[in-house]
Amino acid sequence: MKPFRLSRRTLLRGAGAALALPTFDAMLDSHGVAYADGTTPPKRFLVWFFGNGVRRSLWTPTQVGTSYSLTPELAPLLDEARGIDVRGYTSVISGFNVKTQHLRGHHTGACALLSGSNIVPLPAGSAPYNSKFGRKSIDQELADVIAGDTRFRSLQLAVSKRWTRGEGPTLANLSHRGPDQPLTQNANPANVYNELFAGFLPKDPTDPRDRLRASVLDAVSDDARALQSRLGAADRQRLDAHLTGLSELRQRILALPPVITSACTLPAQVTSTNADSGGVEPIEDVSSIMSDLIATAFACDLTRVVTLQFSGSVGGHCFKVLSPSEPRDNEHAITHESEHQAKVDAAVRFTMRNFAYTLHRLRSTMEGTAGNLLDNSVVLCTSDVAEGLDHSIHDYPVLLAGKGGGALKSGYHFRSNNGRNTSDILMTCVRAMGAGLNSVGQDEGYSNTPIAELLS
Amino acid sequence: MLVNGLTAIGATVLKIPPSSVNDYEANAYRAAQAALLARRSQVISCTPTSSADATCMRTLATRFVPLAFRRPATEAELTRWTAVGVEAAEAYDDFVRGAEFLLAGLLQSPAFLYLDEVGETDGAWRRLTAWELASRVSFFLTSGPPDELLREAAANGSLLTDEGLRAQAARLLEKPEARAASLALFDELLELHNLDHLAKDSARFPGFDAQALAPSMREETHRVLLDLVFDSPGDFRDILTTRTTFVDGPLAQHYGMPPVSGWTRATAAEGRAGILTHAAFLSLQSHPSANSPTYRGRFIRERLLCQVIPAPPPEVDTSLPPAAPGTQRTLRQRLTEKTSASRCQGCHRVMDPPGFAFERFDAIGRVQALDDGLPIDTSGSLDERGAFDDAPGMLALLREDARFTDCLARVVFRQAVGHVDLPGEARPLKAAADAFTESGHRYQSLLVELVASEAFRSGVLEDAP
Repeated sequence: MKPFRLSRRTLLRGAGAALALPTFDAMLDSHGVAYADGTTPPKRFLVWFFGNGVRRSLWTPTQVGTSYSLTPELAPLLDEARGIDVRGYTSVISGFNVKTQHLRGHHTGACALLSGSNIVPLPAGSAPYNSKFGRKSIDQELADVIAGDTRFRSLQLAVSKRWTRGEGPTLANLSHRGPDQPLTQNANPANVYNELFAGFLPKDPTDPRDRLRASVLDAVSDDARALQSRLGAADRQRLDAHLTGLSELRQRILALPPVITSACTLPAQVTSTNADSGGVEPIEDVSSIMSDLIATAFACDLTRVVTLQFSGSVGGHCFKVLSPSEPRDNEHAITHESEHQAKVDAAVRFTMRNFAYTLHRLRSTMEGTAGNLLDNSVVLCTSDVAEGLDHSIHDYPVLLAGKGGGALKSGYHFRSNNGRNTSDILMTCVRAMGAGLNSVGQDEGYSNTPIAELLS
Repeated sequence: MLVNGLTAIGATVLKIPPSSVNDYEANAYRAAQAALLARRSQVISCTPTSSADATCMRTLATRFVPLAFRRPATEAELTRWTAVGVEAAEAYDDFVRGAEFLLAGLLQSPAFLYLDEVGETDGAWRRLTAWELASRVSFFLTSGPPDELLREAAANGSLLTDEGLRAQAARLLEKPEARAASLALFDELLELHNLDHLAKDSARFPGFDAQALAPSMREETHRVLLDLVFDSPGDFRDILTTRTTFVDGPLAQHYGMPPVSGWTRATAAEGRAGILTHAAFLSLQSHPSANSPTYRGRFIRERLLCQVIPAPPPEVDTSLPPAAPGTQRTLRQRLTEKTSASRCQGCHRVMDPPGFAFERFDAIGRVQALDDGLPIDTSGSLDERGAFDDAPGMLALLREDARFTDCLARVVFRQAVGHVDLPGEARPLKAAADAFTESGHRYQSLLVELVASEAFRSGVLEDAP
């Protein structure tokens, strides 16, 4: 009898996938965490991502330095009709190249800009192409350092619901706690509201419910550990991730409610579920609601790290602006049709109009004498390709907004003339956040050199 | 999440995000409360003598822990979960609330949420235990936990015999849940879930409402599959060639067929053959305004023949320019010119020929007589399998291609076990594919043969024994 080796493959499968548990509106009866001790506000980090790139000829300003003029695609940063002016808060970064291996359009750019690593093609045999990140994403690196005891270690949000799900975690998720743990973004504003603000509601102090929920989680954790003891290393790690989720939930259940301040008040109930209307997504409405929720979550220090996926890489989103009478053009598809590049331009302008609103919303939320939320934030805005038409990843479009509590220069166009590594931009975020990490990324995506010109 | 095209694989390789822990918790309390509201007397089968009656609570645990965990409970588990129920019952002075926390807890337990398939070593094989096997069979064939008869077969050991296992599989396939489970796989294999956001160019297809017609498109393909697999079981390869189909009013109009009211069995027009000539497939594997022979051909290569097609080289503009002003060119001509460079040809000469066979159908699945005013060439050849004139000809060759049936067996196996087949599984997998052939290519036989195969019943082998 020939001896055999046991595969290191996992022996543990999520039954939930097959069970297709119904997704009820999560209404968690849990408290928030206390904050607002009157000292310096914390720094916040926001990734604002959109799919399918820009048209560089209409995006990149010709002037460098502080006196750059807004280009057609950046024009929405200054929109007097809407009372929006965030140009002075926004730096344009151009001339940077993705240095990781260009293995697959969309995949490589998203992974490099969000994590500074090479994608890992999943061992597919003859199955359809999939990939995952090679490393945890930058928001999660920062959350490890700056989340502190906030109620939500990080939040993952989305506006368009039509992100692609068929090419593995790289394109299906922005945020990755590790290569095998993509974090799902929530595109339902009513759910986000309930999850964030349930802790504001008055509680009956005699109700033992939260204490009992915590007891249940303890028993569940015991079950998890008993199961873990029977499993191999890979599966033990998967259950470790589950145990971490249980302990974070337990912490939230038992946390104290947030302290109400002028900036942190319970917003009006959000009822939008991001349902289509006539087959069209309510993109602009949802985008503005999500911006409001992010501002309040930051102001109440419910979280310090948010990723917002405005539109997905290779997503099936259709922007009404592309063909107003019949808004059914799929943005990713038109990026690959050379005669439709004017529509791509319209899509980028529409995207920037929404980005500008998010910044505006942060800017108009004051934090006592410490300025506004945008003063105390770093916002990374980028995409999965430089241009959709050719999947290019050189001269990448990146905006860095906010002042990082004074650490980040803003309103500047920095252009690299020698094709610097896009990971230097991530390293700039790390420095501006004061996160104390010595480097970001790995392999060709490694960087320990921030953009000195953008740091104060 | 889909990994390698299947949710079943995603559930095996990924860690769950913390947000799922929240969702499981919220759903668990909802489910427990709903059960106690609707079926309190069935759930609480004993009569508590006090609000926190530990004996009655243990009775509940003894009944529900094995149900939730799909195996016998350990003493430690019974003690742990009884205590949870008693603590809650005491806190509320209410036995029913105790039962609620007990049930909600079980539904959050990893023992409920995961299938553990650790198995027991048995000679050269690592075999699943009867309980593990019961869950694997049940989730594969019915997308749900084992029913009472299957649990009996696991308890008395008959499930571990070849005969007993086959009998259970055949029985489960008669349940209505088996139909939904099969459709769930076909949805992923045919990418039908992408119909949810099908979008077409309104200038190119005026009056066509993709969102309105998409549900009918999906239903047509579903009905043909269910008919061939369950209602009038036949040679499954006929999915590629049958002209039997089902249409409703809007779809009949779309195809230019005589009007019907409600879903009606119909014969597709000459020139159509099987599910790859349905509006669903033809629309999905197209651009918003134009056909894509490349998408259609790549689908056949990757999803039906299990071949690997690399991505286009980085920084290549893959858009297809329109014909020069004043000239007439078919899409096939333009695509052939665009991809004539040798660095394109490596893949395009493999992908495009079977895709060209569909050129008489447009990007929403209707027949087009001419392309840019020119006659359409749908001829070609499928590797060394032979030449064809059109889509039915190409699909007839594909139907006879053993690579198709072998690939089908592999994909269904991946769904069953949650991983891409390993080299050590090739032999039992081939045996199942051969038995599928011997059965006259009955899809239900393929399912039963896969369940009965060593690769399904064992844990995983990296090397063949």
